[in-house]
Amino acid sequence: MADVELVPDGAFRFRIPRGEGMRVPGVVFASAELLPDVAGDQALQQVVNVATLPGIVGASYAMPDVHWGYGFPIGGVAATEPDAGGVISPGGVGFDISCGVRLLAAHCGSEALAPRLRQLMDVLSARVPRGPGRGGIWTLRRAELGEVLTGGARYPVEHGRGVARDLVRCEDGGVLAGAAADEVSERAVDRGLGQVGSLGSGNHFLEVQKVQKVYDERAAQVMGLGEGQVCVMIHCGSRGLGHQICTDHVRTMDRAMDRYGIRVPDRQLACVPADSAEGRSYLAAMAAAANYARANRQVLGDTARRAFAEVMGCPVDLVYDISHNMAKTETHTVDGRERRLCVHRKGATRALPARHPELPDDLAAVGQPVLIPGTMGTASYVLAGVEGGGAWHSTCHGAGRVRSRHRAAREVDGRRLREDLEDAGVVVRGSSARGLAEEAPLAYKDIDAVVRASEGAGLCRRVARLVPLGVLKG
Amino acid sequence: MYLPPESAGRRSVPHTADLRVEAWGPTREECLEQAVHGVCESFLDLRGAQAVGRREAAVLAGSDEELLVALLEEVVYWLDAEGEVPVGVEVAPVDRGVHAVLRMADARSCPVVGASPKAVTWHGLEFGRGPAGWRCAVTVDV
Repeated sequence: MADVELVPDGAFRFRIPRGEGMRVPGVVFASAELLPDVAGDQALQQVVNVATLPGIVGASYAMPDVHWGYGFPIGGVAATEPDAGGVISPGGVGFDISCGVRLLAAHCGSEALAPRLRQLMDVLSARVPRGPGRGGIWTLRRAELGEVLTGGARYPVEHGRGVARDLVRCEDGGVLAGAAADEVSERAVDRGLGQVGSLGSGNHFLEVQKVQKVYDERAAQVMGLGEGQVCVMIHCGSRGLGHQICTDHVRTMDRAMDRYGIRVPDRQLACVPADSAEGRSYLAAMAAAANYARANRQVLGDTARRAFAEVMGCPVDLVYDISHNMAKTETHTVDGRERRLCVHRKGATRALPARHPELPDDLAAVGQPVLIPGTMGTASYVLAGVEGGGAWHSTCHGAGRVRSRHRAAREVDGRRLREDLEDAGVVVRGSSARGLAEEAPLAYKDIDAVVRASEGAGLCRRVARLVPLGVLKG
Repeated sequence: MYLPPESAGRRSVPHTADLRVEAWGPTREECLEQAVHGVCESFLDLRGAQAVGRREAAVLAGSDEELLVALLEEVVYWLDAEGEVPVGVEVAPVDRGVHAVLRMADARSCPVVGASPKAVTWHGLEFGRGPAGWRCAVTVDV
């Protein structure tokens, strides 16, 4: 780590000059306090490693919540140019393909919810599957799962699990184009069949929150948010199916790299040209996993909506759904010329500025909503994309882990943490004491500092801060 | 890697976001068995768990390290696909790999004590024979 040279380069920005093997420099968006701990975290070396990938353009970027991942750092952004031999790397997407966040806004305030909060959390706890193994809200046959892989969130909406507006407010209209179910292995399908409508475990959660503070009234209003309003935030991804697809394709690419004359400094960075047979196969399977993830969050969101209807008698509208583990083909201007790029975002969120053609009409005036899940018991944020945003219009994705699960579990008493949260008025449902301890706030960077740095670096702007009322941990 | 004096065993060690398991044993196969137990104990309390079924798998790979990854991937697969977790493991050598017998319990019947494994990585992967027997270390995405 001592070898990674970090040069201050403006507000909330550091540059890693091009060294041996690097095709582009590294750029780290962070305050000095947020920089990875050089003694215990290889994230900056991973930024350097990503800069060696064939066809990378611009820079190897790191967001303020960057931390150690597999191959790519988590909080890493890299664009490659397929027309110039640019590669696609599953390690630049992550195992949990299209892991992301869905935010829904209820037509009620936190004071109205207060007397029924425990009842609501009990209903949600009973209906939202979480934890290891099988167990999803929606049991599908194999042919139906194939429809999910190509149809994304549209499939559950067409089958009564949502409303048409949900698709308007989901990234890509709820369906990522280019998905091919036949590029998904039988093993991946087996793992995904019993998990549609489930949270999983680890840092995934469903939280009932309230909007504590609004920073941008106009944007908040357009998105459907106001101070004191009750929301539901769902953080989860493509479950076992996405992990199996990543596993399968990393292995295929590891074997194929020699044929393309590609060498990588870390085997977990396995990659092939994006326009090769193996590259196209991965992108089609990745899109299928992204569609699975959107359907998964759609089903979970619909379940939360029904719970609110029963307990509170109020409607719930989708604010937005956005991924933070994806690769996308996008057009960007580089050196004055429009180029087709394959943009990897791993633990990083796309943040399109106002008037971008990919935004739905009703959001065009304010920019893309960016949903940042915070650490349990602290805060989450709604941000928006800004004009001139760096790193191919990307920003942070969360708080970023700084302590291992092992260390957090050793240092935090999970039962005490649960009591502290309950004392603070946060209702916690369904997690082991150890599971809670592993996700304790001290295991993560300060989410407020991460968001300040992201905004200060010109990657996004704050719209609203949300705090938890009820926590359902995966 | 420091090896405690017992001839076979396993433990989890800190890793930033995920799970890292070290295991050791007098033979390659016992070391693999310990690694399976180490991963399963990291997320479920298996004390008192009863085997209710059995799975067999021929696990083949080009190297011992890949064999370790492939065997643990088998465990992850059965957890997601059928909700099963091995409480007993027997691994026997075969040509280019091992034959594994997994005695399965219902994962839902076991108390959850940690985040569940979802993928096995090559990050810091170690598996080999030393003076004190076989040892391995593997990082698992949770």
